[in-house]
Amino acid sequence: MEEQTNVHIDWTCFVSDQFSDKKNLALAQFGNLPDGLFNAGMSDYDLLRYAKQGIIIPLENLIDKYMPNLQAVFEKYPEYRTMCTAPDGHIYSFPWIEQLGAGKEAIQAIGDVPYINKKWLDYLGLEIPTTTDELEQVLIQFRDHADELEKEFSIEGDVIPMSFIINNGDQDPAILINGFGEGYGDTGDHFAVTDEGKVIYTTVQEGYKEGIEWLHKLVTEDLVDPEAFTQEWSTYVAKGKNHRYGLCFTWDIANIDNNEDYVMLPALTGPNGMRNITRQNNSETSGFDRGRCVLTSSCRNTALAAAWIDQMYAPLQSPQNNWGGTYGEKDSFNIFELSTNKDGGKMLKHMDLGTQSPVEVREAQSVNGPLAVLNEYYDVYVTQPEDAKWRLDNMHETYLQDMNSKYVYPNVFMSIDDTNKVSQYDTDIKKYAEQKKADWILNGGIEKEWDSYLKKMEQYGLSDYLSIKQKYFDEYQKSLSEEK
Amino acid sequence: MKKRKVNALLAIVLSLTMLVGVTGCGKEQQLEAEINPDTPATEVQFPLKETAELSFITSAPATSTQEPNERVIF
Repeated sequence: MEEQTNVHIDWTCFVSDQFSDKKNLALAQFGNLPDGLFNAGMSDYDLLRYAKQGIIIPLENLIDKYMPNLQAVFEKYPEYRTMCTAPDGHIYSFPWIEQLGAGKEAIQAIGDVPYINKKWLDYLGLEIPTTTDELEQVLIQFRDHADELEKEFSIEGDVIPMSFIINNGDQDPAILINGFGEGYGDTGDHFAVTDEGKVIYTTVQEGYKEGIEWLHKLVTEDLVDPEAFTQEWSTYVAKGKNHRYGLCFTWDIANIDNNEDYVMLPALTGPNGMRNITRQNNSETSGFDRGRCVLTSSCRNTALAAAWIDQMYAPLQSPQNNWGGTYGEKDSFNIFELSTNKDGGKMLKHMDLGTQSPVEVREAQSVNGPLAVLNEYYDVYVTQPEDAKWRLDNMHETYLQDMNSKYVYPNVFMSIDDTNKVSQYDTDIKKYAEQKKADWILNGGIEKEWDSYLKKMEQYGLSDYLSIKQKYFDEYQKSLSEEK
Repeated sequence: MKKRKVNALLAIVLSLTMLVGVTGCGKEQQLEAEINPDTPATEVQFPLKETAELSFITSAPATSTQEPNERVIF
């Protein structure tokens, strides 16, 4: 970039897991700010409060004047401009956009994919389960044939029929309970939208209660990893690398074990015949992060800063920033090779990662930051990464026909007052719901405590929380129909 | 004597009001220049004729380099 632009960047880099605190400290030194934050990690609340304090500046004029690449993205997909615009009409940040499919076909439609060990199924002569009852029986077989499996596949450590990390996004087992009751299961943020456009909270639905009861039954049958309620990512992965799981949950099984021994477990039909996959909220517009990059009020050459950031949105640059792209380097691992598309134009072709973990390889070289990789770039500017293609193809084949719900909750930009309220509600309601979820799966008792739980959720303000979410959902739907 | 004191006080208040007004106006102009600069787009076409510098905060995983300029992309 420096050679291409003749712009030298003076970086201050913080380690990712300390970034949030360090960033806030840096931004508190008003008058001594850098020109901008590249991987800004700004929540909506951060954007609104730093804008209100005059620490970060509005960007819409800069985008219109100096950022043709980002403008082109906004013109093709006006919803992204809408999603970047704060309730006061200003744009305070440059977004990160990664399209891998869209709508029900977006790669983000399901995060917590259940991967079942096909090698074990084949060895034991079992079919891939399609109902909750069948899954229970398969897990029992894994449990009862643990010694044989350990010997046959030289497994280090005990066989674990099912493992997960409770309340941990993609590692949560919620997708298993979609077949109970109304079929909403549970989502990462616990919101779902009915086909009539009503926003609901999943953890107060009758089907959720039945599903949690069933998961507790699996615990009592010794089918669930006892560490599933306490473990962290590194422990989860370590057991996966020792090939100990019959069923586990994650975004990409290659990050836990390998994608040859496992297949995606399809949507399970529940005891009353319900079969559904509730899509992840915010997934309709594929990957989107509003607060990826900001400029501060200390930036004296905002035109230059905007023009430089716009280079990140160039169709050949964004894939490199996103996936850690290097090509033609003799001394480092190359993610890409420079190839040509069918029209003879330059195209970045993903190299085979071999047995390396995609996350680890990319983390070593990617710069992330503001960028846009659009669906129409594939096979024109860049090929799809093999792991993403594998995930998309398998997801479509396994789940697409069971994604029955019309809506997901969209990525809305709330006012600072509502953001504050929602943050408070999350502290009370979400925390309580997740605490009870873990407790009930592990120890049981949901039936007995259900009524008092519902009362407490209401006391914490669930109705008001839902009405705020409903208001923004309705406004978003209205803005979509106006765009059309 | 009293009248002189009042006049002096009025002069100070007036001066301060003007100072605050001018400063405020300067700040507003500066902000306007930042968010809507009159720099022609042609002046920020790359590569620039003279090297320029910008400063950014960023983050990186602990397992990778903490000097972004060592990354091939930059």
